[in-house]
Amino acid sequence: MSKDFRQLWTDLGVNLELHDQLMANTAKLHERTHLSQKNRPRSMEYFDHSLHASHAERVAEIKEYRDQGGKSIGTFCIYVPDEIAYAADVLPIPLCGGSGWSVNYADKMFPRDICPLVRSTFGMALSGT
Amino acid sequence: MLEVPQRKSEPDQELWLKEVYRFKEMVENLSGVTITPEKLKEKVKLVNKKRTLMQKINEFRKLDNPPISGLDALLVAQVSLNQDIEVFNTKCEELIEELQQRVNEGISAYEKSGPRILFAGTPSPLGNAKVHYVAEASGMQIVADESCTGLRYFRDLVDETPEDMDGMIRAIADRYMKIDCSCFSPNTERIENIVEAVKEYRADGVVHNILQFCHGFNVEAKAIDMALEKINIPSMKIISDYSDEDIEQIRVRTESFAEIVATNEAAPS
Repeated sequence: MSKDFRQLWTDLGVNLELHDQLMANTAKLHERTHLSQKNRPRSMEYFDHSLHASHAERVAEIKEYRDQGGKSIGTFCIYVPDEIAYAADVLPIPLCGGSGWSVNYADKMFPRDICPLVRSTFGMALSGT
Repeated sequence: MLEVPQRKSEPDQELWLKEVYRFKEMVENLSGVTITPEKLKEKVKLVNKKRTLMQKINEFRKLDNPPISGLDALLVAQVSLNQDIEVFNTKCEELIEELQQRVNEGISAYEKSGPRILFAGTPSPLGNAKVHYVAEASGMQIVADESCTGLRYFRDLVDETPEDMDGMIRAIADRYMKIDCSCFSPNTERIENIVEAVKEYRADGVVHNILQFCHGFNVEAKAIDMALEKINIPSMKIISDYSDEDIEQIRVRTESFAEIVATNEAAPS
């Protein structure tokens, strides 16, 4: 499935080898936690897939929007008024990281004793994932 | 960078209003699009719709044996942050329809009953559901998330009545100022909101789920516990990061807490 997006990731300067690790780690964790639950609503399928999509299909959508001249902003925290961004045709994209995989890659620039959310996000940036 | 004040008095509200205007200018300059009142109104309604749908999904968690697990409700909130808003809204509508059907047919997301728990504290962005997972595997039913990936994100709507630009910007600023982050002092409304949510969701106990080094939420937990004691609701605090190394320690603690809650006879529900 992820093969279709390798060109996109290459174009964006993603480190493919590390990104594969991140994706495999994320998928495995999701399988162990969410997918192992019994009696789940079938409609959760879209939300399950969003885990992959937020690295792939959604990235492709945003890239296409930007390639056509559209603007987007990365946001942190829930204080950014989304409605104002949308009204100016600017896509707000929250960047808060939730992956444990990337946390230690933040060590290059950040102290260890700060928020794991910040370390996760910048770990992805610094590892090219 | 938007300057979020630390208090909610009048001068702070004015500062925040100016920041919202500055944000408007910033996005307008970025895209070259001038925001019209009509367009802003349309987008206020769009984002309100997303919040309303998320509220509806969470309504199902107020029921006995909810048709959606806490782990999955968290996933919905996590996905709400980064997927296309229109598609997300449609998928929420589908989920709501299915949840209603499950309620009609008496289908629960949980195999057995367990203590109803409200999670309070910091966000769990997409990829991190560690404590939620361990808590539910320990027999808890997480029925509400008082977090930035929960109630704090969708509880309040923007007032849709103003028609003019200034009125709408004011309504937007007011809505975002209602967010009860622990970065505010005093933050008594968060304590009140938690007590109210405990009653609304008929929670038997509260788990403070706090990311390491988030001192505001960590310190504030004590003030919340004092309010919870008055209504005889037990609580526990878990401070953790994204690593897997403390999973078993968390499991031992959540299992014990589930027992404490289950034997807390005076608790409601």
